[in-house]
Amino acid sequence: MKPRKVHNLFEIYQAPLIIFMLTLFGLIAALLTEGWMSLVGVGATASSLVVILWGFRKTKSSS
Amino acid sequence: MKTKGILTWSWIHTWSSLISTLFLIMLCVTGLPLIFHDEIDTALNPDAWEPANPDAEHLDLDQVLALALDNRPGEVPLYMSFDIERPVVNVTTAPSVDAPSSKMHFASFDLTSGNVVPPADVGETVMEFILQLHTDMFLALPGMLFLGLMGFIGLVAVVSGVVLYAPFMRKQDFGEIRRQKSKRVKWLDYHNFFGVVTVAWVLVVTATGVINTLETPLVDTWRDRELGQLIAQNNKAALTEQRASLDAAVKETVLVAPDMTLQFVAFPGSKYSTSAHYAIFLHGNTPLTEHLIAPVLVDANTGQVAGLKEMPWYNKALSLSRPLHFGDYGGLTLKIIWAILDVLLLIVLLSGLYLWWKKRRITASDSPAATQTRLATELPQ
Repeated sequence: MKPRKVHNLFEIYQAPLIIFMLTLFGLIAALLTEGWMSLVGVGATASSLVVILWGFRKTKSSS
Repeated sequence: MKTKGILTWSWIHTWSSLISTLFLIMLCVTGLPLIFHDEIDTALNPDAWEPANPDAEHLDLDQVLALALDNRPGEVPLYMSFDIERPVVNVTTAPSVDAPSSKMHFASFDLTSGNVVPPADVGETVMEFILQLHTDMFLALPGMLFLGLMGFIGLVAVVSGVVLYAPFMRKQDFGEIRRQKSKRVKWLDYHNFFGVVTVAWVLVVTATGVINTLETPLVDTWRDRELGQLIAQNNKAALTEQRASLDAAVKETVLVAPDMTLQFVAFPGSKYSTSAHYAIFLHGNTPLTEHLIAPVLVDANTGQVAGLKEMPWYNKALSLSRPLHFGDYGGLTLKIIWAILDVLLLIVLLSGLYLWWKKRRITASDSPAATQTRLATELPQ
């Protein structure tokens, strides 16, 4: 694959990949830890919801 | 990706989604109230139960077992479990050890008096119906395995959707919704955005759901292989009429594994035990090990501990997949997040159906050349 194509794919999947890793980390951290670390896990799981709220805000302001 | 590649992945995504969507919609709809099962139970049954003699010494487990069998003459005990917050022991009995779950009887007993604890069963019939529909569609093992297959096909739809995300987002910003374009394009953007943002949760919940549908074969395998070994090592005689004290067996077990907590007891002949042993299940006390259970087999004739057997990897996977599927391990906050993600998945599924329906109406009149032109207009310029 050409470097340009790889770069494009990276650009496209960058944000989804970060959310994917955050959510996955959150789901596992909340399951396997307790106390503040578990709360961090729940927060990380909620990151996808925050991104959706951000998406709505962005769409609203651009229209 | 070339147009041919997009069309191939699009075909995989369309058909894997179409096959599984109706079942996934049913699972999302029935899963929503199940997330809040405990809260619904508490709301519908507000009368708080109190033990009859809070300061009295607790009955021992043999006395509770005798009371349970007196209440159900002619039945045999299958399981005994223990409430965490109340001095209550739950006993499941049935006409025979191999009776189906519909014939089983569940009763709770006050450890301070031996009285039957009234079941908090307002709304239970509805929740039971929803749970059964969600688990196996009233078709027992074939229904479970079928839903597992639908879940697996759903996973294929998710993966192909992630692959298709790239060509559709080539010239578009992350999270951009083209509201000024047609309704179909707008919903395509919502479908892609919600789908890619929730993909980790959807993969985890679907994959763990698929693992949960394999519970019966996994438990059977564990019973035949792992318990089979323990039986081969210890099983010298069949169960006699006179059983050893259950209370003494449980106390003996706690001594064998002092860093573990008692979870439930499976009686001889039941699904989780052998024909001649009490299987006493313990779980760990750390966040990592509290979902992992290990059985201690106690000879039901002599009361002697036969051994503690760690669960094999596939049973550990099953144990860990349950909380990851139910979302009940992070308090009410996580349950609310679970519910919102469930609704978002529903939107992804319904918008996918809508997109397919609209596309079908368009392509019915399309020539192959027109299909390529339409694809070119849907992909951002």
